Amino acid sequence: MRKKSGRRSRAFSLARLTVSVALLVVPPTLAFAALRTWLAYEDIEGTLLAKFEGERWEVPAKIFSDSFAIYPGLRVDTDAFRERLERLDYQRVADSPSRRGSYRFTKKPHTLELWLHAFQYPSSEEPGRKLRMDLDDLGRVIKIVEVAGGDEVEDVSLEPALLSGVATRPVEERRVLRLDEFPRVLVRSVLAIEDRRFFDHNGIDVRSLARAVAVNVVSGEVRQGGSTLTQQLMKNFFLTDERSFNRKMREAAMAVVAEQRFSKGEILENYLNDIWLGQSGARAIHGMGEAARFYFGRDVADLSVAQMATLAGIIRAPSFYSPHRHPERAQSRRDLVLAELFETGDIDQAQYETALHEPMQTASPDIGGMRAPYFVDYVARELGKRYPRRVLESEGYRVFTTLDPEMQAIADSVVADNVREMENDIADAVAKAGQPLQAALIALEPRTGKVRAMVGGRDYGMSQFNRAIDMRRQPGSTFKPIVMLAALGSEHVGARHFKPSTTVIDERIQWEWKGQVWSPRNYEGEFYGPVTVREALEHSLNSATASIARDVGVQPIRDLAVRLGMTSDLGVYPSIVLGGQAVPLLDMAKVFSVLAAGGMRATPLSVRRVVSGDGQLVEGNDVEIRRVVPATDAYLVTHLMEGVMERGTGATARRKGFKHPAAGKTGTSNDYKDAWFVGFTPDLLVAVWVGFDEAASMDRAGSEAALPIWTDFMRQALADHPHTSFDIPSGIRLVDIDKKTGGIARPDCPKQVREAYLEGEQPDEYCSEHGGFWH
Amino acid sequence: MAVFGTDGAMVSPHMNSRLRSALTVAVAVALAVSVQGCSLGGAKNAATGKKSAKASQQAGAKRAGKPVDESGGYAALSDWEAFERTRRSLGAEIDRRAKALRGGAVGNLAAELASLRMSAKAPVLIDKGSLDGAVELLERAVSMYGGNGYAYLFLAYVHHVEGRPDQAAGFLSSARRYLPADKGVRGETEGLARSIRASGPSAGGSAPAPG
Repeated sequence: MRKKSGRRSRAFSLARLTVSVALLVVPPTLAFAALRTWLAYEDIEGTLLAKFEGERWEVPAKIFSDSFAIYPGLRVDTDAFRERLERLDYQRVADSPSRRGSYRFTKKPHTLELWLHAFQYPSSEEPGRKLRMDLDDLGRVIKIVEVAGGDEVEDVSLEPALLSGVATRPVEERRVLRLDEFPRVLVRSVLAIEDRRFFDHNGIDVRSLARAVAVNVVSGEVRQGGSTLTQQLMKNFFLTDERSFNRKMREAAMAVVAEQRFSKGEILENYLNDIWLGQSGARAIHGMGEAARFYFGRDVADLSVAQMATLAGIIRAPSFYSPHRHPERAQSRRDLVLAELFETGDIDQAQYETALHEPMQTASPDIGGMRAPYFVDYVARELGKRYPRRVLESEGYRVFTTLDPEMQAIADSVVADNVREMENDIADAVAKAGQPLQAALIALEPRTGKVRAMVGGRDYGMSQFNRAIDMRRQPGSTFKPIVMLAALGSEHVGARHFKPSTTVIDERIQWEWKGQVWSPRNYEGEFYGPVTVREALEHSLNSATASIARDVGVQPIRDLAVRLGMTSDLGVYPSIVLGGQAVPLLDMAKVFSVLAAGGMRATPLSVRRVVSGDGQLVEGNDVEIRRVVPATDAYLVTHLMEGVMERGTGATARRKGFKHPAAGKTGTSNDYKDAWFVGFTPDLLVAVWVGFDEAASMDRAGSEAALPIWTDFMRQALADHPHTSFDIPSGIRLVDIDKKTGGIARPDCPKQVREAYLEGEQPDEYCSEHGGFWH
Repeated sequence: MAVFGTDGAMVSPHMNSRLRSALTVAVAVALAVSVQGCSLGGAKNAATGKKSAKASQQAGAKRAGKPVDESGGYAALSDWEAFERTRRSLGAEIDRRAKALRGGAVGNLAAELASLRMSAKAPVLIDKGSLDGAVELLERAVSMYGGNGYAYLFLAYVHHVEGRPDQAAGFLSSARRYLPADKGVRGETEGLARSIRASGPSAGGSAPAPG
């Protein structure tokens, strides 16, 4: 009895102790747990707020080309125009276009029906109009009519092409859209396949979680995730792909807090903009907006039901279901989504049937990839001087440039093709040089300075060094027009005033300069005796040109070169007059563009506008021109250089079929280490260099190595352009003269040439040798 | 069953919001407590909060469009009669080319006509205060037809208004070269040249010179 009582007493004491300890320990523990819970909640909420209300995504700057104007009279029923459309992801359709981004030509009547993409320009907006263009027999636009309303429009623009994003590291590409910009069927597709009970759960769907656990236990592997859209979003925003209980719990906690803090609409919008949907090299494709462009070349608003279902279907495993690489897998997944949509009544029978039968047609996988890589590098470098890298890589800037994608494509292909062909021709020289042959090309609009195409090397993958901008090489005879401009110009510098028909002697000269003698030779090693200034340039005679330069003086020639736009630190010594000092290709393009533009110097322009992510104009660069030489002087030299194309070292271009009025000049440096050709029409200037990076002989002159590239480019780039002559400024007199005597030509003069003179300097006497009756 | 609201936002008609709130808070607390060290440590993208102001934008900004009251409108820049003469001259050029084009003439006429038509829209944009839009249009017009003297003239105006006499002088030089030599238009270019000279070219600039 006593024993029993003692045990009871001990038990009571133990219980009392336990209760005491519990009373002592549990409240603080609970308080601590509550505090931690509260802190954790605050922490999660703060994180979510910062993400949802701050900068959610880093959107790298996008670089766009120039747009392209279509107007009555323009020839559009051409392969080149179709290629232009296809580069912009326009799809040719058999029936009248039923959505933006499609077109068709009809024969009777001859029309082009074109439904433009919507596009936000820096200072205007193209809503995406459907147009009908009546064409004539030659495929030229007669009139442009807006289908809705029937209004005639004077001109329209094809939107700029996306060239690339600005990034120095792998980037996430996305087009951020508002929820109401996503088509309803797209949203329903995503919900149907990823989270059917999205509107019925609070971040965690216990039912689907339980189902996933059951499936995984039965199969013995992880087959289903059971994550809601909210959980997926939390994982994408904040967590890693680590498969652990701990990560899963964090994800769930965050999902629940997110659902508490934000509306379903906000969560859905973020999800649709954030979800990863594929990869293209270093570019990760995020969000439905970007994926629609990447896979189908369309804006989300223009997707078909089948395409929306496809995008929803690939969320689960974008690589595995990639419409580009595995169209059959993508299609079966799409059909699954379509069945779900039909079952839930989101699409009707007809839509379902149509979508099921739609073939899996995707845009080219390189859409949005890097085009014009050397130009993009150049632009990115220029932008990098003005903006912090963080801004360029994250704030969604849009950069509008001057590049013409069509010309760029032509430039890329003619450089690559010609260099490859030439390498075969000069295999010995290539072997001796022990390096690949390289080339560079730059195309400018001379009157505006707009850079229209740029190729910095034969293959960007092989070498990213931009030879169009960063390389300096001896220009050889391409420098000679500067000498001629100084000699012929109305400023009358130097000891003697030259005219195009002035005779000079092509003979060995000894040019003494600061105690040394410089004695240039012609390439063939021969001298031609008395020649005119025109002949000296047309046939690129070194001795005659040096003789003219000696009379003009090195300093005025050097100063003129600087005035024309040469930025290189040109020295003052005789050999510069024959291109003996290394200069960049861009400098030569700038100099010649002054001649092409009638004496106006246009600052090269590549970046036109920079617009911030919210559409504000951040930077605007306008065409800048200023007169640096009189139009008459520029014309005199241009006229001589037209002769180079007709009779001189550039005549091969004519033999190869390039017939536009053009002027140009070849250049070859010592030992054939550099081949140049710089030439222009009134509307387009192109400079080409060919050579080895480590200077070595290639046994080819400018006319053999650079001119073919120039010719092929011009022929293709200007194929559909009308021939435009150079404007003859007032103050110029054109006179037909006898080539031998320089007098005004008579009908019987056997060799006549049309010569340009400054007003008052033209010959006033007739040819004294020919003429019969007139003599 | 979820539905779309009239504004496109999603709403759920089924869930009692108070009940939902209570439940979610409870679940959130329970989950948070169960997760050791639930913090930002595992975050893939650390939240950085709002970025600093758009100072970089401002630094990079070279120009934004000026409002109409600053520009005074196109007509205010020049003698009204001279402007009317220029406008008529431009209209006549457009008509002449349109007629030639209808008559089957080829060459560069189509591009010239489109370019001139673009130029004709520019004064309207300038009057609306959209100088940037006008410049874009005019530069495009010059690209299409380099001999469009009207485009150069209007560009000279815009640059003059924006206080860039060097640029204005450059464009005026081209305008003089390409514009027809009729009296009316010459009056316009001369008026602008005087105005540019009066405002004075900036350092290193050049006075308007004939083309």
